[in-house]
Amino acid sequence: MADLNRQIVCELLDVMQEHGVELTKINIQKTAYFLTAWGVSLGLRFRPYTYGPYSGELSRCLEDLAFWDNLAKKGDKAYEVLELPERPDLRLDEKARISACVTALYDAILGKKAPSFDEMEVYGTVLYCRNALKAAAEEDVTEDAILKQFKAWKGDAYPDAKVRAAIQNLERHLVA
Amino acid sequence: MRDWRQDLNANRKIRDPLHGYVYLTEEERRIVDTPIFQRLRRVGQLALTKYVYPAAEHSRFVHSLGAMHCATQLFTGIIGNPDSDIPLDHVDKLTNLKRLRYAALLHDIGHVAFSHAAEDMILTPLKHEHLGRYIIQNHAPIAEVLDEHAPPVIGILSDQFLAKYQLLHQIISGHLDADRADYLMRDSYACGVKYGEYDVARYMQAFGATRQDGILKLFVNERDVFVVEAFLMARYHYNMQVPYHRTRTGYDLVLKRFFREFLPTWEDAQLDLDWANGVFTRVDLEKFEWFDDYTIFGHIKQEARAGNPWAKMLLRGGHLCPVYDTTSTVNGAEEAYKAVLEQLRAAGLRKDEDFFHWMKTEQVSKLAASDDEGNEFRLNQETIYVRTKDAGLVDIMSYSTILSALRPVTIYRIYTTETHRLMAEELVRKTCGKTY
Repeated sequence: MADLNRQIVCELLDVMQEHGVELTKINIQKTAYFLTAWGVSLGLRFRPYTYGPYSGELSRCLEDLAFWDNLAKKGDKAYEVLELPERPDLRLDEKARISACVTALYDAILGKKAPSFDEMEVYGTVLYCRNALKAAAEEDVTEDAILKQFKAWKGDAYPDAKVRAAIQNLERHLVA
Repeated sequence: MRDWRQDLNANRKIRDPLHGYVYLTEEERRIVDTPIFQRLRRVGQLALTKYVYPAAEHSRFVHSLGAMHCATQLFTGIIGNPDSDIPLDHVDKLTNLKRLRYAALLHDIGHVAFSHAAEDMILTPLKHEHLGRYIIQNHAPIAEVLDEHAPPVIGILSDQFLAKYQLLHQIISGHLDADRADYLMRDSYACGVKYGEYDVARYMQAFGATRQDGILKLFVNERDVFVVEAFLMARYHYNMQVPYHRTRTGYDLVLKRFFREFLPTWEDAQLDLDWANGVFTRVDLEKFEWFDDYTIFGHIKQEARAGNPWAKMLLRGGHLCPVYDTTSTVNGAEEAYKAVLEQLRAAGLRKDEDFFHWMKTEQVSKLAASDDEGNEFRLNQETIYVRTKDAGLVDIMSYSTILSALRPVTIYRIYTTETHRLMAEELVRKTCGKTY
């Protein structure tokens, strides 16, 4: 079987562009991170990086797509789809989940097609903290526990009220 | 930290050519003696690198023991650093050390045969780390030994880890981790090269940790910066000369070509995998226990006897011919690479049959990529700090003139089969004005 992760990324890029979302690096990184919450088994590794969850593998995949002229670079922080490779191994249900994730993230959760850089960082980090708490299964996944995790990564970079609002908003829209 | 060996009852010992003795507790010995761990003796650390460096025959088994040893050294070094400020009592330190050692010992338990080449085909879209977590969670002989420590061990190994595991996670798989600390020395030793060597004894004692504004920060003292620089340079030179050696990458391409044709037909490689939400939900671990490098070599021999040319190459009966091999430091390398590939296609040669290409970008430290997404200068959560003489903390990428000056290098390679070598070399000569 060919590399499924690359096919998932290509599908995501097409869906984001069709949905009118600018393909900035932070938008791509955080949206890709959200995919798992919509049941997409993206196997790329995300680490708690400078601006929240970040995958070096995803970054290299994007660079590779740009190298082969599947993507065009817009400055050094964004891309534009030219013509992406086919995705013969991607199942229809997987495609539907990717589409549902993009719709939910930009229409329902963020409520806009052009969220700010900070919003993407906050929402990405909140989801990361929530996932880490769930994966560890060592304590309840409460708003306070997520906030505590958030502050352990970000310190006081963002006001508590902004982080709490993001936690509450996410809880309303995430299924599990 | 007092004598950790006495506190943990690590009384078993295994002789190791690099570290002298690697000590084990009774629980660790029970893990090592499980068939699924013993399987790592039959998974090579460096796949077909042995076709370049003949002595590179060591296994992931011995590397796993070495990684546990290095993790212990790094942890006790950090805890024992007088400038460290980690509020852990003695019991907490021992509990953390115990979990760290389990995590290091088991960090490669999910590697499939021939490691990365087969992983991309068998486990996609997930990786060996996901399989490792499944094993720790679901394989009774290991889960029973770990008992209450299983969730924290998974937490340490996971990419999505709680902030309280940041230090332990960094020791296992950060930028300067125990995994690399062991394999750089071990692989260099086995290959007979000097590229991965660094000052191990000093390295293990070089780090400290503290919290600032609630955020954990890993640091080296100013006097030890060159130890870290040397480590990262060793890693860079090692990568360029060992795993990215052009003969080795040529064999990786042959292996992938061979797998593409045959792997889906092998019953013993079908591990009955299922996954959901980014985790494995089903794996046939009994089959996995038997699936190792020996299994694949058995298939390679069988196909070689039947006359398959790729299988014959994989028994070192030939190799791909590198016709273009250069780096981004050469002007026009990228354009020439694309142009030659286009001309090979135009000449009727088939990709991944008649010609192959391979490209890799290598950075001395991934810490340099911390501003990939944003324009504002902000420190990477995983950066290493330099503790200056006045006790200030400075990002090592700003402090070190060597590390801040190094830029990524991309390697471009094109290979052909022997049949098409002369024609491809002529195309390269016409495009580049010379051969490579």
